[in-house]
Amino acid sequence: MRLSCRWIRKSALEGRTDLSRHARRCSSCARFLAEWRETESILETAAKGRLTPPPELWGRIEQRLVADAWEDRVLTAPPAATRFLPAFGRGFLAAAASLLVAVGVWAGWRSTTVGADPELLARLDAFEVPVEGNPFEPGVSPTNPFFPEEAAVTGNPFKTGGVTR
Amino acid sequence: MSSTNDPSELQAVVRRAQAGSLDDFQQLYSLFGEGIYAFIWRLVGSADEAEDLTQETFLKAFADLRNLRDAGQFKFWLYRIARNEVYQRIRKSKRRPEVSIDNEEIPYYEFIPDENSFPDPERRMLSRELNEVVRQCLQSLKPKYRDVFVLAVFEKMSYEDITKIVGRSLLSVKTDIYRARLAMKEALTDYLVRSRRKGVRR
Repeated sequence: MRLSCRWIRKSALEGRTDLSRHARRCSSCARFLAEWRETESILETAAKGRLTPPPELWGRIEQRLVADAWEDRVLTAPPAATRFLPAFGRGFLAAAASLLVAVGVWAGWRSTTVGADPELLARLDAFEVPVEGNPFEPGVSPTNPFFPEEAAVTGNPFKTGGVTR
Repeated sequence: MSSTNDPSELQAVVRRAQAGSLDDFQQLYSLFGEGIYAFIWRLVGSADEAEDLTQETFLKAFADLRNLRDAGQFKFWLYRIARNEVYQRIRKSKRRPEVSIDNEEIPYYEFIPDENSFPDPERRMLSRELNEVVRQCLQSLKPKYRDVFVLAVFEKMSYEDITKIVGRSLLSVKTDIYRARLAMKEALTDYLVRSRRKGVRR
């Protein structure tokens, strides 16, 4: 094949030259042109038709789109308690929760300070257990402050077998 | 909307779909779904894969639709997504489809010959057969030739429109289409010669 034939064919296939004129005096290009026309005819025939996707394809796409949208919503959604509250409502809820916590702390603190009876406190401060003698001094037998009618404890009450009344 | 002839109406549909309207997106599918499916089918040569990739194309399109700035470019943008999906699939599978134009087994797919062009049932059958032959020959092309060839011959797109989809220069697109045409001619001529030798009437 001559260089000029190659150029003419390329040019013809790009729609810039008429190959048929050249093919009248070139047998190689005449054969090429015949084959080319047959190919074009086949392609044209093959193109005259529709390749259709299955009818249920859109249904499948839609199903995936809805599923993806649902997944996105669940993953990016706020916690269930606040999901349906508008922005203002959420702020209000946060303020109310803080106030509730503050009131709870104050009430707890107050219950440990206020309410104690001053008279009772004075009595507790004045309470004294009457002890005869020094209970820590050996030989002294203190009376039981809780059971004064009982005999005095002698010896070491914590020593095994040493408890005597 | 029944056709894509009105660009402003199409842009309005695209904008509503961008705002999240599923109904409008369905309208876009009804306008372009068949073309995208046919485009992918011719690139991959398999009805199952074409179905799967068409689905992926539209899912990706819906997810990225907000990023489309010019609604008037929707068609090219969609074809670009479809082409990328096909290329990704080819890369993942790391294989080129088997080329066998002697394969007697014709897989089922929904090719409907144009009744106006082929009123005769026999001609319609021939059209189906030729479509299958073309499918097999297309698989013998390199992917970069195949996509521009399919867009030019079957989708009837202009060279300028094809450049918007494949992202190559006009000169490169023209050259690739020329080479693809030559390769297709060789493959089809080879097929016809073999068929004639076998005595098959075509």
